[in-house]
Amino acid sequence: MAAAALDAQLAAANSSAPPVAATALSLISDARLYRPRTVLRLADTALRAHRPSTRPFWDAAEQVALAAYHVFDSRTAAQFVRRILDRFPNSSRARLLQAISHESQLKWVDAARAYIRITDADPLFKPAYKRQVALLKSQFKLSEAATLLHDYLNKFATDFDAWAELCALDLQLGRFAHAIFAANELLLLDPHNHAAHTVVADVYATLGGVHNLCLARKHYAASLSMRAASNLRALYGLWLVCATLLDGRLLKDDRDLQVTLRLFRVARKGITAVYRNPTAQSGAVFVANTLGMSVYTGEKRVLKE
Amino acid sequence: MPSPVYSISDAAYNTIILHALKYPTTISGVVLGSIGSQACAIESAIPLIHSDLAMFTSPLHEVALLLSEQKAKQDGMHILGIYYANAVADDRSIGVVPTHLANAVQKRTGSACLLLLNAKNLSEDVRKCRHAFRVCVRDGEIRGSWGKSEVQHETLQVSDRALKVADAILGGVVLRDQKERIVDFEDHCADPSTDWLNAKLVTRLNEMQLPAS
Repeated sequence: MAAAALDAQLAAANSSAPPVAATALSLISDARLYRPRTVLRLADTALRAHRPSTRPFWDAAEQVALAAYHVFDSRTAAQFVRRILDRFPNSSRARLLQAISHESQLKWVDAARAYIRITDADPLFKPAYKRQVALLKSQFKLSEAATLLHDYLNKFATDFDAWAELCALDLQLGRFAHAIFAANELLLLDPHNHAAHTVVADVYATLGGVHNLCLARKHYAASLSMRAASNLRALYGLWLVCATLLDGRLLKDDRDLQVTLRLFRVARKGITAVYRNPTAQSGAVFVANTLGMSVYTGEKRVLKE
Repeated sequence: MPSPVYSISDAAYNTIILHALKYPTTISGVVLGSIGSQACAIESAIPLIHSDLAMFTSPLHEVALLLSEQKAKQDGMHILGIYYANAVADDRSIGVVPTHLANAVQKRTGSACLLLLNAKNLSEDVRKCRHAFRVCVRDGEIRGSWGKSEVQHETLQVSDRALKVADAILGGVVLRDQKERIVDFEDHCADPSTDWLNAKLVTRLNEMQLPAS
């Protein structure tokens, strides 16, 4: 669902109807949005929609506890965590919530110990490993965080989000070969995911050089073939990479040149079409000016050479 | 040569605050304004990126800078520099990404400022909010670390009204409606119907009537 439409729905959930509030919380959870203040505002109303013996009630309670941590409302968080622990004293999910309280108070050592206790007792409980990675990142230990995440992925190799996170960490650390590996794992896991192709293309485009730019071109085009409508990131990426290859006269092979020119035109046409849509915002005029900045608005020059 | 004095408009200051409030991750954006011989006035801030993968790869930044340049020309302004906030509030380092962005702006315009948001200074204490930004400025051919070219905090002039609006925003008194959420360039690429220039929000920030304290 488009973010704007979702936000409109969340705004409507300010009503006092419990089912509406509960639906809003589910929407936020399913779409994995960061809206802790909205969750807290709707908490009391939403929880009235469920009976305390049911799973949706406790899922919502967990969501509220996490939202409270995010805004440093330790009192609300402690209240909900206590209720959850009373109901599920041996649950790893409940113990995780308790361990997060150490993190929220910046007690890194206590938090690390708590997460280790959880993973020792329940080695297949993934969130505890992920919190360990987040804990290291909070302490600026990016290299250790990447190593730990790598170890986690050796155990749970099909975790798409974890590979994306590792890719970002490797980029931040300047480990570009590792970043490429992680990005390509995303493709192996979900080869028909347009976003995975865009991530891979972004990484190759960042590395630069003719070979990498051609690979970026290929993956942006693949992303667009999977999702053509409003895929602005891939459109802009394809336009930029093709313009760089053409303007920099980096291509020697004539066939490569023709392919790049064709894709450049596809990208330019696609971007123009997006902004011609009356619902699109922000600057059709200066987008057109930006697209015109590339030398290769004059295609005849290419063909003559 | 003394560095120019930088001032920031109410709308630009609070646009950056709103961007930081919306996303708990690393954020980046550009600041536009006018250049004088002794002073530079930051008139608007355009939020760009918030996710890690987009932040540590270059294409979205490159496109966003090109578009921002055109927007600046359209409005008779210049890109004065970039703003950046690290994900961790304690982290005051200037890493690879803000360095590259600021260098790119400096290369194109001759001089640039880098505003690093110190989230720990965003609090109910208005005096602290005044120093929420670490300002680094570089002119001409000067090379080297951006961190070493830091200027004194006082050279970013922030109005009292801007601080009062920031206080109201941070306290959840104003701009709580979902419709008034800030949109950055990355959000716009995910949903082209959203306005990454935040025209309505900027108007709202400029016309806001503050509650009596």
